[in-house]
Amino acid sequence: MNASQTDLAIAVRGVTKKYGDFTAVDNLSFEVRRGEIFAMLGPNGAGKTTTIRMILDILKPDAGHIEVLGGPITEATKARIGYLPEERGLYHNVRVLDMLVYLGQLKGLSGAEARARALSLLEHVGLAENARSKVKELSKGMQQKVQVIATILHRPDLIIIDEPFSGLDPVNTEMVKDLLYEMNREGVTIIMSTHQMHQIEEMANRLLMINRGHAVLYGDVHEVRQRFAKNAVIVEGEGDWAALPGVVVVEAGENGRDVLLRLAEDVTPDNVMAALATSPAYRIQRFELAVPSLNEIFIEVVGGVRANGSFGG
Amino acid sequence: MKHWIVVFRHEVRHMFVRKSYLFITFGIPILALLAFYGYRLYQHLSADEEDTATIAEVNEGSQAIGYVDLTPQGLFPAPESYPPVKCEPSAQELALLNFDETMDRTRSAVIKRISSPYCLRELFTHYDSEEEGKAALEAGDIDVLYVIEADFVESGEVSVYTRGLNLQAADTGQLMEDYLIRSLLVSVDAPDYESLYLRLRTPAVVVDHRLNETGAVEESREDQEFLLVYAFGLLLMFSVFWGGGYVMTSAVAEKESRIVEVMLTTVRPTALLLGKVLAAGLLALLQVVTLTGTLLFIGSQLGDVFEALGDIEVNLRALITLAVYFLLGFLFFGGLMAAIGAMSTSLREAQNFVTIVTLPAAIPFFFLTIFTEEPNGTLAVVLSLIPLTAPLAMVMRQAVVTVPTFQLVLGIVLQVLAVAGAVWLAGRMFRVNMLLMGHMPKLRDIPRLIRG
Repeated sequence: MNASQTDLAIAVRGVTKKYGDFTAVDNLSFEVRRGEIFAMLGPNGAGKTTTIRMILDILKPDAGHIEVLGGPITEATKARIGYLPEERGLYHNVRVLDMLVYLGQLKGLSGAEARARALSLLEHVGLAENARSKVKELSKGMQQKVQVIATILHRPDLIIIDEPFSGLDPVNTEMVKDLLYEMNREGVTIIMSTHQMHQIEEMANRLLMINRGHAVLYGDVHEVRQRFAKNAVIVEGEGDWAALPGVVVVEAGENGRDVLLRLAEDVTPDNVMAALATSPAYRIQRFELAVPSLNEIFIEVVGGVRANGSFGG
Repeated sequence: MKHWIVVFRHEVRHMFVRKSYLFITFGIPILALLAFYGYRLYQHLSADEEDTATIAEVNEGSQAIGYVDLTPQGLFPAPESYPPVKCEPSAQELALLNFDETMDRTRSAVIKRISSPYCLRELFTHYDSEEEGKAALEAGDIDVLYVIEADFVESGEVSVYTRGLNLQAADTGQLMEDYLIRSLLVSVDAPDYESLYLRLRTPAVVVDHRLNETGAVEESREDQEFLLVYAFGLLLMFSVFWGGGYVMTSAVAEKESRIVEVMLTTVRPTALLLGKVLAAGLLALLQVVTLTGTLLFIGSQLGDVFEALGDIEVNLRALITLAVYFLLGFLFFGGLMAAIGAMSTSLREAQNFVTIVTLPAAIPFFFLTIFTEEPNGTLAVVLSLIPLTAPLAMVMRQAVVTVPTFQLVLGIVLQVLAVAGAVWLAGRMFRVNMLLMGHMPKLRDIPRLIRG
């Protein structure tokens, strides 16, 4: 374990959860550091939701133990967590403001405090005029924003959001993203579970990829991508790429402009760059390491598991 | 602030403003009062004067009754053959008639006067022969024909003839008896007339007396006791089932709105449930108070209809038992209803399972007579100790007898344990129900789900 106990928002140690004969989570261990944005990803049925529910004490693990915000989860700890599950829900027949005040009070805010904070956040996301509307009168996107407000209303120390951007248009996605960044800048730890890999690449500091209840990838997002980087470079320009020393395969890019140059084992990208710089036969517009996207890594890791055996939840 | 208090306040505010709740709680009483006073006003406008005296009411009967007197003595001559008298009592006389504390010479004279057979001349028609009477019946001149047989003095036999279905003929038997009494008493002197006439009209007022365990005699008040048992039972059942219904609806709403997962990461299921159950209990109680209050108020305004209830005594112990069992019953059934709500995917589905709880709970009603006659019998005692039937059974017993303290304490202890079990069960169901989004658990899976 890299971080000391006080630096950890969550510590999951050897946790297992079974439903009858089916093992949803199998001896899983990971940590979430305070103040980071941590991503959980994995195919449907991998065990992400079960893990989150165990962290939140909705489900009890069959083995292992979990610490949240410095100790076993208690009622006091729960008041410091904001949770937005994948199965989104709101009371449909209640006015937006009344519902937010109710949820805020349950999280320990006074009535006046909850009201003031709810109105301020509704104003922030452009829903001030809908404060007195019933929830069922709002559009899906509006309801999604109200749900996000309900999650952060009580200024939690830890936010856990399952698919934070589902159902949001690009404008509202940016708005919610900004809200989460703002909370994170204030020191709030954010755990998000999502399938939107580009959002993880953009937002997350570290990630955990779960498959069939096991951790298959875990660490810093940049490091994980580097770990999957092939010994290859992507270039865009003119010249006879196959004639370059150390290049063993040349693959044309999908956009028709760039090419992927796979290198011999004893050749580094630096060697190729040096060769290109000294040769007048080449004109270079772009040169970059061929680091795979998280999407490609996801497909590679999960696809590999599927290819090696039956794929369960 | 404690979570259950926040939930309680939210639920009260939210449920109170629902249109259906407001309509039942306040709308129905207002409509009932409007209908009552509207009817009163109509009666007031349509009636020239109020006449509450029974004799005067009989004198103004609307039926047409024919009779034939075959007695050799001619005991029942035609009503118009009697000396004419003023049949309608004056306002002063009417007040005298309604005052029934003591026998009074003047009143006796008034009663003799207005109960003269002469005053029934509009109602009764005398026919000289049976053939003549039957012809009048066939012609539709009269609704019913009575033939006073020749041996009436010895046998008391009177034959009655009707033609087809005639509603006017249905209730003429008592009028005929009254006419016979009036005719037979015509020669009785005024001072004795009142007691004799009224006694013959109501020959006996039966008062039951029952020997208790110590051999002492206590007055039996079976009618009132039956009514009391019934009223207490209804009060409890209505409030418990209405309130339970609200709890169930609220529990289903948590699931239908899919907010339950967020709620469970915020508040303990038992606190959530307690807040909901108490809120529903308070609102159901308010509903019972407004509805029964309206009913009692209208009843008190009707006076004579509720006269029989006048001397009902409700002892303090019964009221305390009602309050305790109301609370315990509410928590128990509320917990069970919430568990049903938590297991169901929709309100419609939940309603299908409600009878699992309501039917056993209403069992004491099926044995109402036993509770009235043998409130300390084996069946009543057993039912008042089983938590599912106890709230109703114990309250019904306590309404009519003093339940032995040991049984009362044992019943309450068992009920408290059952409440704890029901609330725990509902809490477990709340917790596991999110694993069952979209489908009901199979019966065989429930124990495993409860264990978590």
